[in-house]
Amino acid sequence: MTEIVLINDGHLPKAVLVAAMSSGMTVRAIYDDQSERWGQTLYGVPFVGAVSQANALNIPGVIACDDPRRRKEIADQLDLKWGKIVHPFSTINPSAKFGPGTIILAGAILQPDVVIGKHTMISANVTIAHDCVIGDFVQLEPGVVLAGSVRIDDGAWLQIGACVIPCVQIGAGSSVGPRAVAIRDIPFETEVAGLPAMPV
Amino acid sequence: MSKGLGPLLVVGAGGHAKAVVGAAQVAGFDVLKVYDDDPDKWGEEVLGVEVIGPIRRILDAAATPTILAIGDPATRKAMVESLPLEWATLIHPNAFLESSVEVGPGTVMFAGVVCQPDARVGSHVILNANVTVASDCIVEDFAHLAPGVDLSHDVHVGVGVFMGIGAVTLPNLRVGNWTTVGAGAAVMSDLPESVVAVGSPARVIKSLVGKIGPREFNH
Repeated sequence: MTEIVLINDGHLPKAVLVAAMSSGMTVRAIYDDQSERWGQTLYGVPFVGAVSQANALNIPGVIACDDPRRRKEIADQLDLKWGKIVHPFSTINPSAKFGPGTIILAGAILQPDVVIGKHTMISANVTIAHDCVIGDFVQLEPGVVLAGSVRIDDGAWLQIGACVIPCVQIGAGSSVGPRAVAIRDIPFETEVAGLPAMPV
Repeated sequence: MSKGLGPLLVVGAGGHAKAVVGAAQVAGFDVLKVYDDDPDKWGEEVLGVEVIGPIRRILDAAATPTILAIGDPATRKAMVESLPLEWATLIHPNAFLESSVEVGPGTVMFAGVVCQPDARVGSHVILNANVTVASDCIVEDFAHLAPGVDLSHDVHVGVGVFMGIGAVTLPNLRVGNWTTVGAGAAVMSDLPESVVAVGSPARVIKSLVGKIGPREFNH
């Protein structure tokens, strides 16, 4: 049985913890910078201390927090082997690949030849069509739909229900608003919303 | 059907009934009859199940678990109040609910639904195909979330709310009782009771005060 620890700060997506447990992993502990949580448990898993205390553990970690910038800060801060979490109620074509630290939640669908980087979060009911390339520290909120051959660069945040049509690229650090539909390339560090998605 | 969940009666023979009967059959219910008040539908079939009526005839079989196949929240509430029946809960086998999720009687969940940890779903709710209910959401009685609706975490959807196809919400919001959210809307702030809100971000375009809510249902 695979053992992991979770690293978190801010809102804790308990779906990540439950996904790990549902997939048969044993979650040994949660390291969280919210000190008021220390000593508490969630689904029987104890909050044992601050993020920094997870450094150099001999158990793989996964960064659970849903803020992609904070995930990157934590990943840069810690010397840790990174695990992956895949909810058993997800559909992943065997040709799809995803890097360490990446989390895939219930209902997600990854079609053939999808490539996903490190520490990316694929939330519930996200659909990723064939040949999409998704970078590191990307955040795809529930219900996001990516058509074929879409490219999502590092640190981009696609909010709940956002859609991207085929072959469109979302630049690094950009944000696509709730239920926005990106129909052309979005440059880096740009915030867009609406249908069609326009800068805000 | 192999799973043997036992007999089930369905009220309503409109378009939504086909989805309900289909889900019930796949789940393993033996759907015995569909009841409707429209005499033109009596004798027809929904996926091989005979339609009979009027609806009050179901009271002769009141011990048989029943599910409402009526999409409109106000009509559903009126039906429940006028029909003293035993209500079944119908969850399609391709829906996924974490074990900590609570679900009330009379609720229907279709294929592709995901309910994340500690979500609470009331009675006679419809979670239509591919709906996402994230962690710690509350969906109150008689709400109907149309296909592809996604709720972020800690959202409170009030009694009798209808959310149109593909509507979404940001986290930690409240949608007031008997409010209607338009198709594809993005709810980015709290919505009051009994309004229609549309667009992205969703804005109120109409009040429904006095126009929607529990209606008389006479038999």
